[in-house]
Amino acid sequence: MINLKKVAAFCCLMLAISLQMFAAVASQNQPTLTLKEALNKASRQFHVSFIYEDELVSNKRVITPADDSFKKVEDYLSAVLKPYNLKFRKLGGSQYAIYGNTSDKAKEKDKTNHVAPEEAAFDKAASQQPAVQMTQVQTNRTLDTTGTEMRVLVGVVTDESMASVSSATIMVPGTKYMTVTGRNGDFSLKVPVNTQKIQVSCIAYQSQVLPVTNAIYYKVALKDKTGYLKPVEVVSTGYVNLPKERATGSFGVVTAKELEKTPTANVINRLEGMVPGLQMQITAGDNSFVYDNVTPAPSSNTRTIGANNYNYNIRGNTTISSEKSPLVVVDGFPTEFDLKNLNPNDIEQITFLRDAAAASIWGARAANGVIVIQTKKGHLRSPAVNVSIGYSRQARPDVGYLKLMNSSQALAFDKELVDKGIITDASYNPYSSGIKYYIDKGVDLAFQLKSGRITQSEYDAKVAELSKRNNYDQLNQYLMQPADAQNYNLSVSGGTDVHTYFLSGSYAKENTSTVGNYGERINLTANQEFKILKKITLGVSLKGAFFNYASNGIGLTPLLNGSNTWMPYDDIHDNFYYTLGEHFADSLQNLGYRNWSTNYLNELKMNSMRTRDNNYSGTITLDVPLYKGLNFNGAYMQERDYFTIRNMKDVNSAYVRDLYNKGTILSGASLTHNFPDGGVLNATNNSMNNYSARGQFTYNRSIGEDHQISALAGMEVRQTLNSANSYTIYGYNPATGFGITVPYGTYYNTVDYSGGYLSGYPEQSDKVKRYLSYYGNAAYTYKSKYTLSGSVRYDDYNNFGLDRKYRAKPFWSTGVSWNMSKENFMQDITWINSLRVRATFGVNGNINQDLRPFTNISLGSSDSQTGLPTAFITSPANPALKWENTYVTNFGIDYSFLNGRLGGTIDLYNKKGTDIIYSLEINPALVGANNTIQRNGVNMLNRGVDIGVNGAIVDTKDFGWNMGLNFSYNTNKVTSNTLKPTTSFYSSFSGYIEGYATDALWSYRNAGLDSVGMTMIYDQNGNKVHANKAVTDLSAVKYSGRRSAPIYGSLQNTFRYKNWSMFVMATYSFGSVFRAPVSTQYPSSRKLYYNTSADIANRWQKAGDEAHTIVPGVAGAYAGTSVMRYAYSDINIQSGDYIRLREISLAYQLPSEMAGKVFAKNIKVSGAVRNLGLIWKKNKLGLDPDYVPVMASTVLHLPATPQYSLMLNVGF
Amino acid sequence: MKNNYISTLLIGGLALASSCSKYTDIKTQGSLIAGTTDNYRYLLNYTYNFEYGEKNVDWAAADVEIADSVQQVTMEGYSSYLYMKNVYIWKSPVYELSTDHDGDWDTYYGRIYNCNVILNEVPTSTGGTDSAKLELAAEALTHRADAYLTLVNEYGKPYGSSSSSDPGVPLVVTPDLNQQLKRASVAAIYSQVESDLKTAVRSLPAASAYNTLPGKAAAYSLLARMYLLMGNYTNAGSYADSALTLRSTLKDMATMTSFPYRKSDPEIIFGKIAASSNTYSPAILRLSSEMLSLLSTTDQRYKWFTRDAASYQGNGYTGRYFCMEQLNYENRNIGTSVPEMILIKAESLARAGNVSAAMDEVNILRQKRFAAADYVAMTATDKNDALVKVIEERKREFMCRLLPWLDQRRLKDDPLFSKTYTRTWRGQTYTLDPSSNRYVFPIATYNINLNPEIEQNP
Repeated sequence: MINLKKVAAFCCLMLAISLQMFAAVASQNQPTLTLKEALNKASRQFHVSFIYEDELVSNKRVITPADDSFKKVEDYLSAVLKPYNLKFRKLGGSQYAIYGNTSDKAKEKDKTNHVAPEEAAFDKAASQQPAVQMTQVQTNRTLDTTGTEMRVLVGVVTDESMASVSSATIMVPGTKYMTVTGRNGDFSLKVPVNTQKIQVSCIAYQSQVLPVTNAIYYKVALKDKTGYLKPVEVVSTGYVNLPKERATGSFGVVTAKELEKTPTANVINRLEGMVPGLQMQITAGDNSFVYDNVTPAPSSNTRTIGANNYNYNIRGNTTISSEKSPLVVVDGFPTEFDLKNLNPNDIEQITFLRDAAAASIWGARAANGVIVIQTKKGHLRSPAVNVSIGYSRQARPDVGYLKLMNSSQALAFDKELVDKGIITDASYNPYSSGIKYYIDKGVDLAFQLKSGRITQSEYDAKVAELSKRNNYDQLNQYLMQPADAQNYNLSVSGGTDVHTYFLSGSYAKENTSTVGNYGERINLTANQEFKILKKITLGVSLKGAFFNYASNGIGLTPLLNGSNTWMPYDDIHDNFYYTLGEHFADSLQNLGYRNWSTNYLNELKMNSMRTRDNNYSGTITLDVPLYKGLNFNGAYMQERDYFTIRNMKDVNSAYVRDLYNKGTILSGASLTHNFPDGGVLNATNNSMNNYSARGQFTYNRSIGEDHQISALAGMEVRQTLNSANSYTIYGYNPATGFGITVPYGTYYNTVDYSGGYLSGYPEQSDKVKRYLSYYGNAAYTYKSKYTLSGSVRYDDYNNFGLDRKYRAKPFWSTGVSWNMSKENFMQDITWINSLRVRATFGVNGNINQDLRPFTNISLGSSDSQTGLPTAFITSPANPALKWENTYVTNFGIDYSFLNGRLGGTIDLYNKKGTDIIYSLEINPALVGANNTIQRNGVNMLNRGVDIGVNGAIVDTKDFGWNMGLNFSYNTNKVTSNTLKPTTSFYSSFSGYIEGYATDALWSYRNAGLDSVGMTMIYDQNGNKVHANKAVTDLSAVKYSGRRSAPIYGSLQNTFRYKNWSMFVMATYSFGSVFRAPVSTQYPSSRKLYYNTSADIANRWQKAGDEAHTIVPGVAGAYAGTSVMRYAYSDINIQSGDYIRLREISLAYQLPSEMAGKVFAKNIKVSGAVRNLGLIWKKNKLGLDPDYVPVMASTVLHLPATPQYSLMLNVGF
Repeated sequence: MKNNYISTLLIGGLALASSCSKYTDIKTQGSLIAGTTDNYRYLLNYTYNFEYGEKNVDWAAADVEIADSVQQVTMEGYSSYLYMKNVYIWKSPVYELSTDHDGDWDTYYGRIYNCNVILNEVPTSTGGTDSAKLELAAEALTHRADAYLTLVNEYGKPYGSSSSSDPGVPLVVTPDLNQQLKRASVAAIYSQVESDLKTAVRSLPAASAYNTLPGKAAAYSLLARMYLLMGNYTNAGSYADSALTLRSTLKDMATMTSFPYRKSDPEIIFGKIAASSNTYSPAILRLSSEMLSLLSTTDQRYKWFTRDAASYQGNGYTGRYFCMEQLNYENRNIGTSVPEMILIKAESLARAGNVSAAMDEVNILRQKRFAAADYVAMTATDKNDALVKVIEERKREFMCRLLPWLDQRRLKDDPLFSKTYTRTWRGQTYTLDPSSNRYVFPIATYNINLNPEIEQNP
């Protein structure tokens, strides 16, 4: 240590000497004016005054420039000050401060600190106080109106990582002298000369009191105050960044600091509960970016990737068939990528645009709200390196959550199906002749009994044996696993005055709770800015996200109800016969067919489904100042995605053996093979190639003290190209890469007469969509109190309208805001720091990319009869097709009280959707059997309140408790009178009804069972209606509530104790309902369907049962209607209210002395537990309303199990 | 320097803006608008949209008899068969749930919609000659006329003196999705069919390469069918003759070795098929004893088109069923054919009192329906006898294919043929007397709920 100090001191000394020598040499060679004289000259020439430190200016000489060679004082100053590395800053009016540069070497000295005895003494004091650089002031005195002698202090406020802090307050305690820092963290403050100290404070940071010496320049590094939220000063619309105090719209902001609290690899999980108005449903709890579906669907009108795993909306829903998810904008451009592509650690700030004034600049795509994501940029400083490592592990999911029949119940059900002839002899009884299809063991036994192959006592014995088993757990044990995840992240950022950079790389891997399914992600980001040609800024952002997925898992799919459902007495080591019955399949095997069974444990190893998804995006921006606040911005963005799936099905996999066997025809004694031998490779390749280009002029100018104008106008073009191709190779040999030539698309005979068809003919689709937009936006602020804003946007889209008249409709917004707290009458109310009211109105749009106003046809292949080329109509002409419009009115209040200890926002909104597109049923006489036509025609209304409160409840030096509450209330209803209940509404509750929410849940009024075990319901008059009669009156059915919660939000608590901090988040959801998971479908002789729902055990079986059960019986023509009506009965409606403990995390920040020992600036160790379950729920079924099992679905998500994470974060 | 910069930007911006009007003027793949005349040709080529017809009415006609309890029980057990039972016992409503679509209504109006789109758009399409456009329109008119002719005979009363006030079906002749659907009169529908066919016949090609695409013969044959249903036997006969001059080939059923696919069946003039095939139990068209008594076992139609139900459909089935659809696994043809034209001509002649000429026509057909050894020329004693024999021949020739029901309707009040039919279903007897409302199919509640202006049949 000692040596190091000495070396450092020596270096500094040498540097000082050499600089002086250089200066001396320079002055000898160029004997002109002293610097002081040069400044005096400038003062006369440009009518300005200077504040400077005598020491800095003395002993320096400059080459005198020609009098007229500088038009501006800034240019002059630059020229004369540059040789001495001095800087200047305009202080307002015509006064300039001149001060020394903070060289990197000076900072080095700060960091190692203990250089010389006298400095060590100073630094010791400064370790409690921030480092203050002091220099002598010479001419810095003025008189104010009262005659007090004043001086000016300038400086910059940063955080610990040297990032500038804007809106920090600098004040002289106990006086009226105060100011706030600007965007770059800089300030200047006039204080009386006798001022002893100034206080620097900012919410979310620990306040500091600095002694005022005779220094003019102060550099303050504020320490974070754990738990406080940094005040949001700038919001971004994607086109422009606005100071929040001048924005009229409703913006919600999540900062990097808040995102850090949740340790998941996907930012979507980190947004839950963070912003009022954002409603998030995370329905998969064992992963973050490994979705059930990651395959792009170029033809889809709405988001498909991850749609099974998460859904979110901002302020409810104003569309039916168009996109419901908000528009996502990353670094200024809409992205077609999913949020999983972003490394959460790269995100600087996320701004949610909730109302029209905020979002309508996005025009035709703004109706669902907009999420504007800004990634991190470099700051002017020495390189800062950040490393983090995280690991998390989850408990094994529990199949017991599902309410399923046990073995003896399932066996009894099996027997009933056979006894009542629902599982028919002809197709299923393995002990009769002919082709027999798959049956489960219980049905097999029942058939054996029925056909007299076994006696009743033998049957009973076998059933008793099977009844002892309950093997649901085997799925847990063999097909499921505890999920885990790991995360590694490295970032470097820094910069000089001509170049700043932020570089990061990360790797994440997640093993889901399904054995065989995992995903890996690599993110690379490089954001850079260059100053070129003096004032032009060039920004370059490059991002890459690279995914590998394996999806070989089986998971809980055996449980899904269907023709081969896992029965509780099944053993996972057994072989299952799915296509044909076991006995029949075995008899064929004797004839030379392949084995026809499925074994889950073998299947796990047999197939290989790999997905690679490589995403690239690049943005280049150019900012050119033109004239007095007028800038030109040009920007270009390119997004590319290369996506491939290789799904290799082994020749011995059940899938291939099944197809091969089916295609094998017995003719006489010889076998004909219609299906090619060998493995099968399904390949899908998608690519996306999107670009946007934008040119815009921005104008930002203050005129005098009172007027502030900011405006922009621009034009944008955008193209998305989605290409997809897929093909299947039969008889594929992975070693050679070859398959065999097959006649795609030809039907062939199969042994079960179902008919085969070699699918997978190579297909290519390329969908190009183009958008052309003109937009403008202006805001005027008077006296920093009153702001008036307006925006307008015109969107043109190639698939909308035969004629521009259908789409040439501008989207617009207007808004006002009033900064009340700046009014004179408010100045005496000291507990109010800021109070602002806003009101906006405007219209946003939504695109339905499926529809065309003209008769839409599709070319078909050759006609089956004539072989001639064909075409068919895919959608009828709709000449009146329009955009969907959403009119948004918003009133908002932003407040900050008690010196920032209590603050937040309140927003009230009214969102009126018109011309919403919906499948309206029309008479088949107009169009034929497919008689639902997508048309504009529905109106909708959303109303609600978004409230955010944040308060520092306890705020002492060592202990702090900060609480944040987000509350949202949203009502939603359809207001069009065109929507009357249709017949399909009465049979399946599909469709929307005027006056009710789009997610209204309807039910039948259950009237028990009739004498044949069929569900009865009450009609409007209270009469019982049997299953064969329909109800056709709205008062016959019951409105049961909404599926999504009208009231939702979160409660966040942050505690700090010295270097410890704890974060606890609970989310809540009130007012929704859901249908209890009961049996919705029964088998029929047409469709064998195994249903294991537990309620079936209580079904009606014989006359008289109706007295004590409401679960309908199985047989009869109307059993299907009967069971549907039972499932959709009011008795099965449950409340979805809950309070969920989402996360608890604990972090420890190592003291900086300890961190310093390993050359780190800070070291943080933290642990988190997520998915702690429900603290309270209203339903008594033990169900988590976010995870209601649907056994007939294609994906079964069990509730998220607790996830334990450990993280280490080191900053250098 | 700076000025150059600004001007470059401005010029660039202007250039961009001026070229922009075309920027969004592109078409996305997979979403074509018809536009060019060729595309309307392709639309008409899509047989699927034009050839399907009824599936209900064959259950109502007297040539069918569902007598076996196994068939009745099975049909009753499943909602998907219920319409067959209801039609069979002449019940109203046929579709009991208000959510049930009426397949026939949907099929025919679906075809009509396609025709209307073509008729509406083809005149303004590009790239085709006027005559090509006229021919496309003529084809659409012919397909549409066929649809309306069957529709009005399903949901409207038989043509007669009250037709101008009897409700027919909604007359939809434009692809406008917002129009009212008040039922036009039976006469108005016939009049539309008549004028459409007469317009079409001018522009249809003399011959069509495929019987699914209409040529002049198709329009003539439909006119013949229409006039027959209107009781205008003179016109029916002459249009049948016109059709026969263009096509008169018959299959010799005694010598043919396999039953041809419909596309190569020389007898079909305008190929239309039923919307569902009835070949598997319980949906088999079991022939009535009355029907079987008309068919001698030496009749090739007996040999080809009927099968023993017990051996093909299993235990509990008795009698014989109509098995044409099992010969080539295609749905049965219900479009116009050479035999139909021959028999229309025969009926026209018989009605005119030209007994021997009528019998000559019938014999032209019968020669191809019997082996030479079995063939005996048919003769008639008088006009009524000739008429009866023609109608009986129609029953033999067209069993289970739309025409028996149409004949039953048009002849229900004819003293020669008037009869009350009875049926038994699981012990209960149902009757259909000549004055019964059940000669007219009810309109599905579903359709009426959507458009209450549609009047229900009594």
